[in-house]
Formats: sequence, C-alpha cells, structure tokens
Amino acid sequence: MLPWSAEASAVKLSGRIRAADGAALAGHVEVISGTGHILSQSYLTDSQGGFSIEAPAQPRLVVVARAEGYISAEREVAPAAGEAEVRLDFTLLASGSASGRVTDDTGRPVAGALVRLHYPGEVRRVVYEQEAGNVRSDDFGHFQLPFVAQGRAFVIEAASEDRLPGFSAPLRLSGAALEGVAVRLAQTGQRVRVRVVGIGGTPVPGAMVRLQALAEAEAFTAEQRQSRTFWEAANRLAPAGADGTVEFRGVPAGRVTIVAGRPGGKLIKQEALLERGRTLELVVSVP
Amino acid sequence: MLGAMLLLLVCSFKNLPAQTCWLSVAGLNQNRFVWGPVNVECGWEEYGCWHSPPFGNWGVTSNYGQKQDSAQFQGWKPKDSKMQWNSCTSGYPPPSCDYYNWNACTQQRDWYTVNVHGTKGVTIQVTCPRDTNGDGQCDTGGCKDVYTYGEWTNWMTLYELDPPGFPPWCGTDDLVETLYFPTTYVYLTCNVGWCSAAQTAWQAPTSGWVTSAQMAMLVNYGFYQDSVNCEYLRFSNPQYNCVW
Repeated sequence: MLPWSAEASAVKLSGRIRAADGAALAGHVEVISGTGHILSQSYLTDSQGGFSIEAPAQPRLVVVARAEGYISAEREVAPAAGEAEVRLDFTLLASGSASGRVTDDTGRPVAGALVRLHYPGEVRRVVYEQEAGNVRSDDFGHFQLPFVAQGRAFVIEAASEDRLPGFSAPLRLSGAALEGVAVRLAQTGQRVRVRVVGIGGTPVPGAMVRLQALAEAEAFTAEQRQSRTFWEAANRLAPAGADGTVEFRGVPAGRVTIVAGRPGGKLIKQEALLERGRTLELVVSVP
Repeated sequence: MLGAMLLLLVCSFKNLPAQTCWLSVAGLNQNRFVWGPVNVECGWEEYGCWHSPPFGNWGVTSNYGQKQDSAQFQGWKPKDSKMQWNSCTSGYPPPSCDYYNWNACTQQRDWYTVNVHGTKGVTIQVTCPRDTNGDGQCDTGGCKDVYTYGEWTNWMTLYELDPPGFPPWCGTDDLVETLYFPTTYVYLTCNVGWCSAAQTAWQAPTSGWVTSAQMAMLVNYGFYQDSVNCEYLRFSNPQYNCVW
C-alpha cells in the first residue's frame, strides 16, 4: 500500500515556463509535497510551456520548472486556506558551460578535486546534482561544468581530500561557454583521528562517528560558509573501521565536536580544539 | 548572554535557513534492451555535418535530471571511450554480430551494468532535535521526522546524443523514446542525524515500443543540517540540549 492517502482536497497550480527572451519552453514541472512522507510528482507541460495541475493541498509545496537546455528554477508555494488556484510563471536561464583548472598553493594541478558551483544568495529545496556541478578534476586539474546558468553571477568551489575548500572569484557566463577559470586550494586541512572503544578499551568496529568543525572565524567568509562544499568539509560522518578508528582529512582548524556511538546505541559527545597544522587524536569511550 | 545573542540573531534575519534533512535521491537503470528499429544516427553527411553511423552514445532526461554525454544509459559496443548502441537499425539490419549482441545477433542488450541516470538533492524542513525521555540523547526531530520518500511519476526519455563539440547548426540530440515506470517509494531508516541508504526493487517499464530497461530509485543517504533556531532552543530549553 502506498504511504500517501488519497488527498481529500487539492490546489490547482497553473502557469507557464518561458526563456529569458520570452519564448515559450516545453518542459516539466515537479511538485514536492509532504513533511514526514515526501512525494515528488512530475508533470509534462504543453508545447507552449503551459501547465495546469492538481497538487495536494498542503501548507507548503515546492514547485520546480525544468526544460531541456535550461537551468531549473523553483518556487515555494504556501497556499492560503481555501485558496483554490495559485498562478506560477517561471523564467528559465539558458544553460552554458564553465571550465578551468584546480591548483594548489604552489600552482600545481590538483587531481580528483570535487568541483561544484553555487549562485550567491540562492537557497534551493531541490538541487539536480548536474546543475550543482559535482565533477572531479582530471589528472591535470582540469574540470568542466556543463550546466551553468547564463547571465547570472556564480562562484565555483572545489575541495580535495586533504585540502580545504577553495573558491573562484564571482563569475558570470555571458555566452555559451566560459573557459580558464582558476580555483586555488591554498590551504591544507587538518586531520582528526578518532578511536572508538568500549568497556575495557576494546575497539568498536562499525561505530558511527560524526564530526562537526566550527572553522576559525577568519578562515572563511560568511558567503563561503553557506556553500555546500564548506558544509561538507565541516560536517562528516563515517563508520569506524575494523580497529575502531576513523580518520577525517581536510578538516578546518577550530573547535571540533565529535559524536560517536554503536549503531542504535547511546551517543557520546566530545569537544576539542583542532590547531592549524596539527593532527588531533581522540579516544571516545562508548557504552 | 550567548542565548540572548542567539535570540538577537534569530530576530535579525528574516530568511534564516530552517533546520532541514537533505536526501540524495538517484534514478538507476539496468538490463537495458533495444529490440525494435531505431533510426536516429543514419546519415554520414547531412547539411554539411558529418555523423558516424550507426553507433551513438545515449543520454537520459528524467525526473532525476537532464541528459548529458556520460554513462546514463550505456550500450554494449565500446567506441570512443563510451558504451554505445547501434542507432541506425535500418541501415545496419540484423542479423549481424558487428551491430547486434543479443539473441543470435538480432537485438541489443546490456544486462549487467547498473547506470545512474540522474541524482537530485531534496531538502525537507524538519523540527529541531529534542530529547523526550530525559536521557540526554535526542530521540525525535531532525531526519527522524522523515519516514518515506516517493516518486509518483518515474520516466526516462532516451536520446541519441551528438558528440561533444558538435556544431549547433548540425541539429540537436535525437529522441529515441520515453519509458514510463510505476510509482516508487522507500521507507527510510533515519535517526536524528542521518538516514541510511534505501533502494526500491527493480521496476519494469509500463511503456516502450522499441526499448526496455529496469529502473530503481535509490536514496543514497540523508543528513541533518542544523540551524540557528535550534541553537537558540538549546540554550533556552533543556529538552533541546541533547546529543544527536
């Protein structure tokens, strides 16, 4: 049986998808609804980009518009009680590409760096991974992001296993392609080694270990701290190996919180200061 | 003092991000099968544009993302570092073991590789982690607020892709067909801080004239993203000052 009950009431969402020049764009509309039980529904627009759909009448809906060759856009809709219809028009920006190179502080290429992009100030509820980048630099540090919005400011961000996130200058794609973007991973991150032990000091393989780093205030700007790459550098989760140990690399210096526990067991929290250039070793005893 | 500062922060920003659970959801396909006629990569020269029939790499636009020149719907024939499909079956008809690999060289199939045809991240607003039984451990809120994730409409539109760098005046990627699949949903196993991976069973398509494939939905993981709102609650209400 499906976990969603048949909706007693619905709200009509209607509108049109257009390009920035006003041209109609045939595409898709996705509606994400629910709190505990999340449901994504996908609808085809007509050939003129028009849509008229019945969505579950819930306090909050996320509506995403997509079209081939364009970057998706979303709107959060909070239909007022008794509101029968909500009008939503979307303007999508054409997709282009951006390419460049990731280097370290000496100018050497960084291979295997994870490269993403973000649009400053944008908060998205639904992110298509290809629009966020998520590509790896090649052996020469080169990367290409194939889905970048034209005419909108963006920042490219990168990180590697041992290096802290680096960010490009703000960029803007005025044509179909932008080449030669430089992203420098100037800072080496720190290492945190956590050993999880049980009663009598025996290692606890499979214990879950979560790390949260409060990076030093001066190390990253407020804008950079909003990026997903920074978030992932500062928030880690990993199971302990056979020897009960987990090593986190590329961690920003500052206060760190470690939470560890057996799967389904009581969690133990420890805090410590991670100094620049140092490896922090911690032992966490779990019941 | 710190609590007052946090309260000030909360009041200062109208659009502070709420606490959320982020789910990474992927569409997978396997057992890809082309049994019918496909004639989208046939001419060598067309409007001054040189194609290389009959093989081509295929891409997928779906409810999980857009087509791209990668490994979204791999074929069986290795060519130009991609696994490709015979995309001009009228010009290169069966039986021929150069152009078909299945059923006595009359059909095409890749039956063992699992491809990811798209991944999306879905952010769900949740409540702050909270301790309801007084043991100091957060036992409700965070990702534990999320029980199931479902995709009502699963679809995959298949395209034969023009090679990278192909001039735009040479036309666009060629539509093969759209496959529709049943609704998929998974029950999630989440604690406050994260959700474990969960995958649906493989689904057969409910449509398809010339192709077929099985698809599954995979929730790769979920993780909780804390907020200043919850930080404030931790200072003001001991129930929220718990470990997660």
